[in-house]
Amino acid sequence: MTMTDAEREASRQRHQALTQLEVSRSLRAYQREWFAGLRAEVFEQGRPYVIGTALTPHEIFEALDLPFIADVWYSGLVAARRQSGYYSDYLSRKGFHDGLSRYAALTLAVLLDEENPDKPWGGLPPPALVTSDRGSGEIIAERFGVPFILTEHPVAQRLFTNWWEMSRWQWEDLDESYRIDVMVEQFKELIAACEQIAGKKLDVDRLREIMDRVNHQEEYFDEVRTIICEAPKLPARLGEVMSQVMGIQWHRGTEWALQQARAFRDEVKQRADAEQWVCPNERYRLMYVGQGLWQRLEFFTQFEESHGAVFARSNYLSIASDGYLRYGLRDPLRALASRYVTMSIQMHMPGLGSAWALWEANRHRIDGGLQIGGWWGHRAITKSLEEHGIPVLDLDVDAVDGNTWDEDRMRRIVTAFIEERVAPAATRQRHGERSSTG
Amino acid sequence: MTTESIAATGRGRPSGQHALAVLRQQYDDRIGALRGRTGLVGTVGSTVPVELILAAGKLPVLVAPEPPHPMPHADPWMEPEFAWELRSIVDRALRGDFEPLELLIVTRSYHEVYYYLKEIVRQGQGASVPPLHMYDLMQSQRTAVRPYGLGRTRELLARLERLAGRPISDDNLRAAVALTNRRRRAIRALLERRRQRHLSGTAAIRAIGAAYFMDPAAYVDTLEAFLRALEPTPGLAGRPRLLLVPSEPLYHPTLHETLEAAGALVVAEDDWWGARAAGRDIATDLPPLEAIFEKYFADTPTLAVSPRAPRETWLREQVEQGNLDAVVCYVPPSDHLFGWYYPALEEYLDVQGVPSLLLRQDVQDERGREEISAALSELVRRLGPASQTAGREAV
Repeated sequence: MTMTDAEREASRQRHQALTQLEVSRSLRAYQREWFAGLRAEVFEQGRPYVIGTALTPHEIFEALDLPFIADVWYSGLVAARRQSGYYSDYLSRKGFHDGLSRYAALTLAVLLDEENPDKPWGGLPPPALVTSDRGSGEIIAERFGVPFILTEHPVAQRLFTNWWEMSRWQWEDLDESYRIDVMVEQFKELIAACEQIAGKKLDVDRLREIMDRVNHQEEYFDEVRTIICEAPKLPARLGEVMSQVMGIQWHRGTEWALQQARAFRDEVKQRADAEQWVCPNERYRLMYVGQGLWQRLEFFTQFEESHGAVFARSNYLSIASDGYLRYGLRDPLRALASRYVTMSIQMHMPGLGSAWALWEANRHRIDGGLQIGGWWGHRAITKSLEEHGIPVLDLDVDAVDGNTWDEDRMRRIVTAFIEERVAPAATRQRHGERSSTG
Repeated sequence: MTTESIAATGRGRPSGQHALAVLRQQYDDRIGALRGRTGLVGTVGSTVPVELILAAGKLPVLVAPEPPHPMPHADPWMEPEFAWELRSIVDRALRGDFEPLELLIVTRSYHEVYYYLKEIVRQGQGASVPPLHMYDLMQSQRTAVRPYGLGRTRELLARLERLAGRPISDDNLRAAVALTNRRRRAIRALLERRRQRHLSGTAAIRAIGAAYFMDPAAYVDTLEAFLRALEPTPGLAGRPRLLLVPSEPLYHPTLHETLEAAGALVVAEDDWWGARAAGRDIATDLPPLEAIFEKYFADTPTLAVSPRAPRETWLREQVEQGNLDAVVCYVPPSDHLFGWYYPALEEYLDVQGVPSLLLRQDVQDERGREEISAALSELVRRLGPASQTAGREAV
């Protein structure tokens, strides 16, 4: 049906062998415990929980003691377990055509599939509320007959290409007051629905404390990024960094998330101080410019030994500080609205995405970029990076759908990219021929 | 009098036989409205409150995509994952097609068009792009977003006042509403004739779609002349009646032509280019700006309405009226949203006993057209002659 027990054990051992960070192990243990607790509380005690998206204001649920699962998080777990092909096919069999994005929808598939017991962390119980954009989230809500709360993001009209310089303190200017207003109104609608299922009122002071805790957590991530940028070589493998960042982000606002983020920062710093490098023979530094390859996080590890190529940068770590940090919490709901009003699209919107990618590439001393299909705006990013001497490979593969994967073909493509485009670009860069920074 | 001069000047009443030619010419030659004209404001999408433009003394003209063509201007900027419709509009803007426009108003469904054009202009590559205005009307119809929509409508009004160089009064707005309500009534009269199978779906969508490119008064005169002279088209009464549910706006007649060439009759489509172009009149017993906003906020066909039930009200009414033989869902490969709702729609139609057909091909490419034609011929054969008079019960 999906993987056999033997295949899963082999995969687990392979994963263990590649694991370098202790926090990867503690994260995994926490997740196992958290999902088991969730299932027990929902099934046995009837505790309500919420399904949302990566762009849902988790902080509200935390303030109301409502457990929360992001659809993309769970989809990522499905993909990491090599079950995305199975569940993608399942959706197709149910009539959802294969042109519909599977990035978040594998959660729907797991919930609909009542026959296959082999699911990440035992599967998901029925939610009490769903909040998302249109699409698969609506179908989950309809399937279980629970409230669905939509969030519509207002279109940005004043576009600042240096947005990451304004987002921490100058967010009212950056995000435009009237756009923040409509997000606040929608969050009030969400809060009212959540209060119904939580059986209590939101405490604004508690929300402020949570916001403050999230800021501290994102500051640790900012430190990790700085270490990666400034260390002579890469101290932590990107697959582990991405898993760690997102594993923590899905619990942001909790005390556990703050402590885990600090432990993560400490361990990366310790490795950099001790000169423990991912690839001592590091020659080329690569970056993801869009989504991560969640279905094969370890795929790129093979190029460390063969080519001295490491992945040093992803959106996931960098947006944690550049996109999430919001200082000035007198009105925490307003700050929260600002956090989410442009979340995600600033990474790829033409002009904004390319300026950020170029700034990031230079900070991380990047020699080449890898773009995984599906995000709009990537042509402008590719154009900008390549004009500045950083080649970009557009990899025609879905981030989570295992059906789009062909290991040998991908190895050939990436090998050719490193040898034919990254290596010459790196040589030019070492000789100071790269164009000036953006 | 030529077909162009009628539309361009708004003067002269066409004879009945000439009226269809005028409507057809305006529908087919969409750029014709821009030639030699001043005071034009372009609109992208179905939710621009054109009454505000008319009240400013300007003529609204819909900016529509063209059927597939090479897009050398848009391709370097836009990803192929975008719907053809969006890429075509960017290509046309960069090609200079919209240069005569005094303003181009972009709506929420096309916000990527707005973002791309803004960036291209910022980089100094969009000299032919007219000034842009984003009219961001959220269409979920929820209370939480209503003040935002009203605020954006006031913002648009202020922008048009600057363009007109004068204030826009309530009387200006009322006069514009009277004009567009007259147009809505004329279109509803056309839809009634269509239900009686007096004209084909292909003819109907051309006649309706011409409204987006013509002076409103000239359009109403032309459409009314057409309807006065309309004799039922022979042979339509015996054809199976289809309701068409597309996942994307049908800005071209190709799908209707293909379905009807296979022997069917498209009697309605859940689309603002066709049976849902008019909707209800704008209320005249409210302050005019609020009444205009309310019309576009709450009475425009869109997948954006949340939750889903009110969104599907119109469709269900059509099905439950009982005078359909089948429902055809057109979901070409570019679809990224409608497909989530299709399985439930199919289940509903099964429960209602209405045959349905899902088309996943793109009618704009030759092979897709051939496959659609074959699928429709098979559907028409299955529906058989009994359905021609008895409706779905006979299937």
